[in-house]
Amino acid sequence: MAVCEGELAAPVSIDIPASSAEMVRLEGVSFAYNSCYVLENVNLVVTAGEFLALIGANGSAKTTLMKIMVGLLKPRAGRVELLGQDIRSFRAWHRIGYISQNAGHINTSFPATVAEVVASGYYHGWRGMFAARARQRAVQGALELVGIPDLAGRLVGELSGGQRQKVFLARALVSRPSALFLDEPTTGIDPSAREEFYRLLEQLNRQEGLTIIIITHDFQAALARAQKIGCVRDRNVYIHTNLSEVDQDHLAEVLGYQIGASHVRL
Amino acid sequence: MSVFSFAFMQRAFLAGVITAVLAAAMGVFIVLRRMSVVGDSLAHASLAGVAAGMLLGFYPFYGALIFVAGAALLIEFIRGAFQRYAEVALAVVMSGGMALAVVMISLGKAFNADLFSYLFGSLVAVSPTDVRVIATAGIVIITSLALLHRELFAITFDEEAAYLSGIPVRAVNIYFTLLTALTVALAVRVVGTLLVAALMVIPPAVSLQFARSFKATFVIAIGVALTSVITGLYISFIFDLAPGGTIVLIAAAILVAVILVKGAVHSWI
Repeated sequence: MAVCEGELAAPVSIDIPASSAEMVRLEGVSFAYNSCYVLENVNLVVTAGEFLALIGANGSAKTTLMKIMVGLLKPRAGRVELLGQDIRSFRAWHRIGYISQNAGHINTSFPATVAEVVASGYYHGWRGMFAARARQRAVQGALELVGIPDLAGRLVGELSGGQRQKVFLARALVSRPSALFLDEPTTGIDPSAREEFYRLLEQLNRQEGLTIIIITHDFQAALARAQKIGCVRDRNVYIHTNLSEVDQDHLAEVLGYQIGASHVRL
Repeated sequence: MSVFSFAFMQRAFLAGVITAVLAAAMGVFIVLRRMSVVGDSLAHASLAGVAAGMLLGFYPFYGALIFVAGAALLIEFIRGAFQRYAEVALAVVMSGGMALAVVMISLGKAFNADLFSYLFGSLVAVSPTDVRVIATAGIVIITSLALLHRELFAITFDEEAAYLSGIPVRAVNIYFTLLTALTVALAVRVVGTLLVAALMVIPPAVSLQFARSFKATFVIAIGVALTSVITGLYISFIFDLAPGGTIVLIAAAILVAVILVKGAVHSWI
């Protein structure tokens, strides 16, 4: 049986103690493209410092779910909170970082240096206009954090896929966010660069306490590091709080289905 | 020396230099946002405004400005409706603007010659009023770019990421559209409707051939535009040529030369 298909299951409600800081809260969120519901009554809470990996088949609405979390898509029904604030009145954008699925497909002839691209993530409204030095420091810090300070003056179009991904990571981190949202960030990157990228994420999560929510197909690399796995299927998301407690057959089934699915797609 | 002894040439150089800087600076964003054809469509729409001004007896620049701004907003609106076929919006606005211009020209047959100067530019016919308007608008555009260049860069590079860094993308885009309209309306006076796009597109195109940063892209584009306008005006004065056409031909020659040199250098190394 395909894991990510089947009839609509009862929504899972997660009770989180009020003391822990919430990064994301979805309550009864539903979303439809035209009249086709891809998410129904989703409840999800991500607390500060978590590393959540979202997995699921192609077309299981993982990206849609993430875009709802950061406010790029408005749900048909339900409530979305980001960092404890209703998404509709959320303004603390510098506290979240996001790398979209298409980040790798930039126009390679765009005449911008790595430093210029990273600086574009540093936005503090009108006040930012007079913060040239603070911006410069933030850019330098972000480049050092991801380990590419020597690339600052290079054109982004000339970099390898792995290097470019670090540039986007630096841009997402330049405002020192509390939560990082990554949508399949390692697509098209060679395995060693991928492993390095995940090590970096793990380090940021452990040492800086950065909350990480990542959509990924790199099961081994991501699942080994994530504290929570969210399986997006049946128009909902099922959270497994502890990897060792996850039913191994179930996990194998998800992995097997995933690998099978990608073979079909290719 | 002899060139600047004429007041009309002083005005021409002043208007030309300001327009060159504006067109090139705006052009960098326009080209990188893949909106090169937008300038062309807007320039055609401006002709209807110029014709309306002449027909109804008000300063043609204001007519051009109103029509171009309207056309620009219309393009944004139609783009929203036909996201996948944005060219549809451009074709509609371009042909609609030209059609309106032709009808108004046929209504007021007397101003054909004057209108000709808007089609191909008439830098040497720039009036003191034109210079004042161009300078004022130039200050507005340069100030706006100075204040908004970070936002514009972020949006041009990655609109989604720009939105998530807190930039009011929609408001900035609308403002940018209006700035584009203003630049086109100004440039129409200098190089004419048919050549506006060239002045906005060729200098950034040259700059994209070898700029090593976004900042350098700006500086090079402005340098190319200034070189074209100044040498173009000078040559057109000496050989009694049409200034608009001469300016654009020089810009085009620079582009061709840069591409050839770049190709030669690449094959040589």
